[in-house]
Amino acid sequence: MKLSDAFPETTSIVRDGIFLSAGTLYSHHPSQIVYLTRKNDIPKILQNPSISCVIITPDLVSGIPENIGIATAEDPRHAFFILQSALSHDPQFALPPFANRISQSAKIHPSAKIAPNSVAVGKDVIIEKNVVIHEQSIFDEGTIVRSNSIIGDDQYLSGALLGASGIRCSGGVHLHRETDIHANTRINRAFFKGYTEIGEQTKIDNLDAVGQGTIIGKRCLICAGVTIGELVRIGDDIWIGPNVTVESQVSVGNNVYITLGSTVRYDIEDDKVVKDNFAIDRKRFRKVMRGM
Amino acid sequence: MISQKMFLKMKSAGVADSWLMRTSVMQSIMKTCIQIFNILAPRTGLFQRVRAGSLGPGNEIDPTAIIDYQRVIIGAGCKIGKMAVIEKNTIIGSHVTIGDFTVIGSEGFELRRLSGEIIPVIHLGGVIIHDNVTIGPRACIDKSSLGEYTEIGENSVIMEGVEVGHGIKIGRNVTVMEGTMIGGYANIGNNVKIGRRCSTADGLSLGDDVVIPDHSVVTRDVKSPVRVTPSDV
Repeated sequence: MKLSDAFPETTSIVRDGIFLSAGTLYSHHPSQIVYLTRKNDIPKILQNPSISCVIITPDLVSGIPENIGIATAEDPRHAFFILQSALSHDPQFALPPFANRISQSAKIHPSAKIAPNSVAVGKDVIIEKNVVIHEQSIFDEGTIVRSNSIIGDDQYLSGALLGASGIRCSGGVHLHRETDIHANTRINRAFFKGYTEIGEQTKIDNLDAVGQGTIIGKRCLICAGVTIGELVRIGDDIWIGPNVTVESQVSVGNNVYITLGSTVRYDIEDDKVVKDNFAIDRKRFRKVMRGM
Repeated sequence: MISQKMFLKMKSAGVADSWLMRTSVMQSIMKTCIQIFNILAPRTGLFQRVRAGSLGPGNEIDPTAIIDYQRVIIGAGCKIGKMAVIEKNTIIGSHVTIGDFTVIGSEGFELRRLSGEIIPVIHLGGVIIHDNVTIGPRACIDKSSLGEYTEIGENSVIMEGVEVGHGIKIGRNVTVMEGTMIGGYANIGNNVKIGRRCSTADGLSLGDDVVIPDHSVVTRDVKSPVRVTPSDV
């Protein structure tokens, strides 16, 4: 879509551009449009090659690179969500709805509440008591969702509305093969076109919360009470202890061990042990522990 | 009891990190053993504990609560809230209060990383909740592995959003505050008080009369009777 088509009042367009999806500074959708409110966020545009258009306040225009289309608004966030409320009904910018595909071998408890459309349930899936499943949820074979969990929730939207009416989630939730979601866990659906993904054989314990657009890798073990923020990227073979908080937009590498009660605020590289806010090399940690 | 000790021994650093357990042969043997156990054990009656359910008089059970009445024993004068789920092999004493959305007897978090895969261990135990226990809303109490029970002693209070892991033994008059996560196979004594949003490591033992303040992380055993501060543990 052209920026000048999206914003009919041509006065607000500084430089025209084409965008194919909507997103944030931290997401990686192809040719995405994002909004920006602070001067400190301008370097993040340079780091993210998938941004093609920005909505910005008039005083920040000078810092934006030449290949990026610019629209200006007094309140960029508000303008962005007004645009998103229109885009979320456009089939190009949202996942297409489909009729429910529920496998014969899936065991679904009668008290589970499944959305009337856009839910795909694979072979040997077990869905237990009182589970709530919203639209655009995909369950691959062997997935287990235990009692009182909520999959594909979009409750956080109320905070992002900002007066934009009729806004909908464009994405969904994809649980890969043999994932296990324990009781009282909540997994939000992605806000923009795409999925909140839980990788193969990843097990998530009770009382966890996974934010929108988060991608968790394969074979991760996530203990009870873990809160994972929005748009987090987590690698493979990770252990996350009880009561850990992972802040939004953080990326965590492979084979990381996050000890109980930690808060992860910064990006973590591969093979690290995280103990509260400190990260140390996992091999060195083992050596020290053996020496004691 | 022997089964729990075996599991704890297998999980301990001395066994799990030893060179023998890291060899591919040993890992594949362990993997097939657990997979055979997972297929066979639920089909035999060997670990089946509660064979017939019963329901005492004067209970106030909300119609939206889902209880497996065939395999659950409930005493007298209990109050069970909305959308609560009580799975099989659970024994509940008298005058117990269970809050809304609470899940009792769900699967525990017992998983093994063997030859590049994650192998779950099926849980066959149950939960015992003694008399006069109060359990808040959105709490989770997991069942124990094999034929053992997760136990919560008399007059204990488990508050909102608390996770009680598999195989935990909680003593009498214990208070566990909101948002606390208690790791698996812990032994908690009598009159213990655990604050809000604490997290405890698994296999831990806390003595009698221990007080743990809010938001602390406990990784070592605490002997009685002391009041620890967050920097101590």
